[in-house]
Amino acid sequence: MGKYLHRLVFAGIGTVLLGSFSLAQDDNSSKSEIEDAIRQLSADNVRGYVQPFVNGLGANLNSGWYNTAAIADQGFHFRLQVIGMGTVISDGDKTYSAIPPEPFGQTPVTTATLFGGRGATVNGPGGTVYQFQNGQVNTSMMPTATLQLTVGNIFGSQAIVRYVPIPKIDKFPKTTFFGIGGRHSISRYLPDSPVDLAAGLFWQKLTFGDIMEAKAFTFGGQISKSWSLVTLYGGVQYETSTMTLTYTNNSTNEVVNTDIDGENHARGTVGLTLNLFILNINADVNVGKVTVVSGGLNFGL
Amino acid sequence: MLCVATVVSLVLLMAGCDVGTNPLIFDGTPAEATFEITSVGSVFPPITYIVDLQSVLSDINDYVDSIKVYNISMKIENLGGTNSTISGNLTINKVGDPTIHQFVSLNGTPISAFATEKSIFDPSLAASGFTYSPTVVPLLNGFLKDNPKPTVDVVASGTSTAGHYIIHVKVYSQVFTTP
Repeated sequence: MGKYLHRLVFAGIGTVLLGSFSLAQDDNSSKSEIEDAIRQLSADNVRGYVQPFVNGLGANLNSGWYNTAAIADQGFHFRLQVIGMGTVISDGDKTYSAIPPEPFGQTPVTTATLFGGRGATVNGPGGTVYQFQNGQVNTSMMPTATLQLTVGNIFGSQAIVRYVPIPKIDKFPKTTFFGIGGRHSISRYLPDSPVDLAAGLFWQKLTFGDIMEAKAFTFGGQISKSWSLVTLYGGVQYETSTMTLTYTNNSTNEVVNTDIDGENHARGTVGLTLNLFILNINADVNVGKVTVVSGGLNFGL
Repeated sequence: MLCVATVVSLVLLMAGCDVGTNPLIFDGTPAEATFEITSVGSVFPPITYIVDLQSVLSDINDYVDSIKVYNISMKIENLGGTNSTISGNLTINKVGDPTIHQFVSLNGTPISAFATEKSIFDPSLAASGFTYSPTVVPLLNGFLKDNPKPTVDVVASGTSTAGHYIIHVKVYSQVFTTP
């Protein structure tokens, strides 16, 4: 039952990836699979285990903010968007080097990340055996989805808000996703420009249960050119993302409080928007340290 | 149409994401035995500490496939006495089972060797007159196969130079769940 629920959520019913991981847990489980897996890890090993997850989440959060660079100088603009993003998970994202606990040899061992398979097993003295945590997510793409509202236009400027509150429901932890940003038309200063130009910056915060808090920030420039029903758009941006993990290791009672930075810091974007009056559909590809695909269904004027 | 196709592809890729395909591995709650020894430089009487191995599974609500011990540690708190040494044994047996298994053996071992928590498998301990039974891990793994988990007696006995100590013994395990 759990796996089917997960698939449904991943198919777009859920609004936030992290929430979807938790919705499908067994009734007897106290936490989501990801939380449970992370709580078993030492401060030394948790970074490698979740780094691809942080990269994917950060890259996803910094995606989907725009699908055109055209911003009218004045006039009412209201657009509600359902946006899906997916970061490609490569084979390299499925393993990392970890150090086993005492009394095992303190040499690095290649084992599974959150997106990997079975954890590596090491043999120690006295017949001891230790297995690293197994991977918990089998996917070639890490998805995220959100709702987004764009309002404007005042002097070529728009405000953009993302907000997804998920209350605590039974064992599903409270999750809150909030993002805010703004865009400003550059074209208004370049009336003869053959293309539309804009710049924007965006900030987001996502809290999930007791142990995870993610923040993301990006700014960049956008360019687009429209022909009748189609808009070709693109852009470049600088971005950061950080996940803070706070938990107590089950075995050692070690309190782990660590910040893990996403590794994606710059990207180029190219995409297409299909304009159908109050509905438009867009999709884009983002290339940087990781590759992200995003798409949206957009309603409004 | 390119946009529509891309969005549809994205949704399909999302639908192919499986969560929880591999079983979770939990750290079991460490099982601990504690012995307080007040010695005047002679034999101290056997001290028994009863450990309910079911406690390893506290806080774990998933279906358990198996439990495996991956470390056993000792720490000796010195509450009085200098340059103290200890000799003796730790044994273990299931409550009600007369078969007693030696766990570790100390022969003039300085208690300072365990001033901080140390694995009994640490090779440096051999120079301190400390040895462990090579069968202790398979033995404990066997105990942990029982359902419900048994209660065991851990017994400390031996001699020591004058002093006041608390010996802590911890058993660390991994709990393997079913997918």
